[in-house]
Amino acid sequence: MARKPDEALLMAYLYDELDNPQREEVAAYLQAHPEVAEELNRLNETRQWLQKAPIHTPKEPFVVTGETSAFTTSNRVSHRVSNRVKNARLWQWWASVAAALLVMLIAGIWSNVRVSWKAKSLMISFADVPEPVAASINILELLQKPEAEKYIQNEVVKVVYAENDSLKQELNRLEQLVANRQVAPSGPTKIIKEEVDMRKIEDLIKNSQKENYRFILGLVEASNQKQRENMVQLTEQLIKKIHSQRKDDLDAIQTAYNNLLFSTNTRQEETDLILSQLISQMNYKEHNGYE
Amino acid sequence: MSLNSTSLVEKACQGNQAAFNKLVNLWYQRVYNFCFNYFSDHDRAMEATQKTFIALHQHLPSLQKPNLFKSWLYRIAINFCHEEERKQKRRGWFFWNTTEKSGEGKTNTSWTSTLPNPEEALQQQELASLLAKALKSLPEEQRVVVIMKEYEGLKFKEIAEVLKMSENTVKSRMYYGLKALRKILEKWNIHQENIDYGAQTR
Repeated sequence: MARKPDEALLMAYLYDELDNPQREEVAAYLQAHPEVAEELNRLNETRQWLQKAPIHTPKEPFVVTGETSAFTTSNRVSHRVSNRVKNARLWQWWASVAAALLVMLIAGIWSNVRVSWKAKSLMISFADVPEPVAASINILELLQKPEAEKYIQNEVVKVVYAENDSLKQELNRLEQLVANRQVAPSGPTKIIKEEVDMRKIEDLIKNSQKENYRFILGLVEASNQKQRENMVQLTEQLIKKIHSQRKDDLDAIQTAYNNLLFSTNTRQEETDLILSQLISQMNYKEHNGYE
Repeated sequence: MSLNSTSLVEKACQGNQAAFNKLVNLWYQRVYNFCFNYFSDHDRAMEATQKTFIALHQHLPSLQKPNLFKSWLYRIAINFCHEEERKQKRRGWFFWNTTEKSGEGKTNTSWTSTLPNPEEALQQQELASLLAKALKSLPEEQRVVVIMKEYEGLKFKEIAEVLKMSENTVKSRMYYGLKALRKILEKWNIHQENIDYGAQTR
C-alpha cells in the first residue's frame, strides 16, 4: 500500500473488520510507518479505557403503565420509576414557580408597586391611589348616609360651589336639609325625598363637573403659558450669557496674542543684538590676525 | 437464546405475548445500558428505555423484516434518546438541575457489588464517572457511534443501518470520536501507567 490508509480503513483494521488481503496490506503499511502504527496504538488504548466502564444494569424491573402493562418483565408491577420521575419534575415545576413569584415580589417591592383591594376590585399601582373626586358621588345616596355632613363640609365641594352663585345657593340648601335631618331624626329620608328635586340634583352634579373641567382646563392653560414665558426668558438669558462668554474669551485671546507678539519681537531684537556682537568680534579677530 | 432470534421476533410480530415478553427480557438490559451510556443518568435512561419498549409493543406488528429487528430497535431507542435530550435542552433554561444527577445513576449499577475490595471499588467508580463525563463531552453524532461500537458491540455495517448513513461515515465518526476521547483523557492526565501504579501499590 503506497498511500496512507484513510480513517475508515484504519478503524476497520482496528476493529478487525477487514478481509484478509486488505488487513495484510494495512499491516504492511503500519510496519513501514511506525508513526501511523503509534497513532493507531493510542486509539486502541483509548478503546481499552472505554472497556473499563461497567455494564449498567437497571435495578428496577421493566415497568410500564396503563394499557401496555401486558408485558411487564416482573410480577411486581410498580409505578415507582415513572412516579419518581414525575414527582421530581413536579417538584422542580413548583420550585420554579415559587422562585418566579419571589423574583416578582422583590421586583414589586423595589419598584414601589402598591396592590390593594378596594370596592370589590384589585388595584395595582406605582403610587398611592387618590380618592375619587367629590363630583362623582351620587348626592341622593350620600345624603341618606350618616356621613352626609362630611360631603357638605368637604373643602373641594365648597370651593367648586363657591364659583357659581346658583351652586352656592344649592349648597346652602343642602346644608339646611342636613341640619333638618339632624334636628328631626325620625324619618330624615322622607323629608329629604320631599325637599330635594331629583333633576335639580342631577343638574347640580353636571354643572359642578363642567365647572371642574373648565377650572382644570384654565389651570392647565395658565400653567402652559407660564412655562412658555419661563422658557423664553431662560433662552434669552442663555443667549446673553453665551455672548458675554464669547466676548470674554475673544478678549483673553487678543491679550494673549499681543503678549506673544511683544515677547517674540523682544527676543528677536535680543537675538539680532547678540549676532551683531558676535560678527563684530569675529571681524576684529580676523583683522588682528587671530586664528 | 440468541439476541437475534428471528423466530422469536416473528412470533412476537404475530401477537404471541409470551414471545414478546421473552424479547423484552432479552433486550431490556441492553437498551437500558445504551440509554445510560448516552445520558449518564438513570432516570432519563429509564424514561427512554420505557418509551422504546412501549413503541416496540405498538409497532412490532408492522415490522416488515424481522431479521432487521436489532437495528430497528436501536433506531427507536436513539430517537427517544434524541427526544429526551431535546426536552432537556428546552426546559434547561427554566429548570436547574438535572444533568448533574449522574451520581445517582452510578449507584444503581451492579458494578460496585461485584468488586473485591472497597478501595478498588472506589477507584473503579471514579474511573467510570470520568469515562461517562468524557463520553458526554463528545459531539452527539460521535457519541452514539462510540457507544454502539464499544458498548453494544455492533459491526460498522449494523451501525450504518441503524443510523441510515454510509459505513465510511460511521467509521470516520468513530475515528474522530476516539481521537477526541484520547485528547480529553490526556487533558485530565489519565494514563494507563497511573492506574497500573495504583494497582501495584496496593
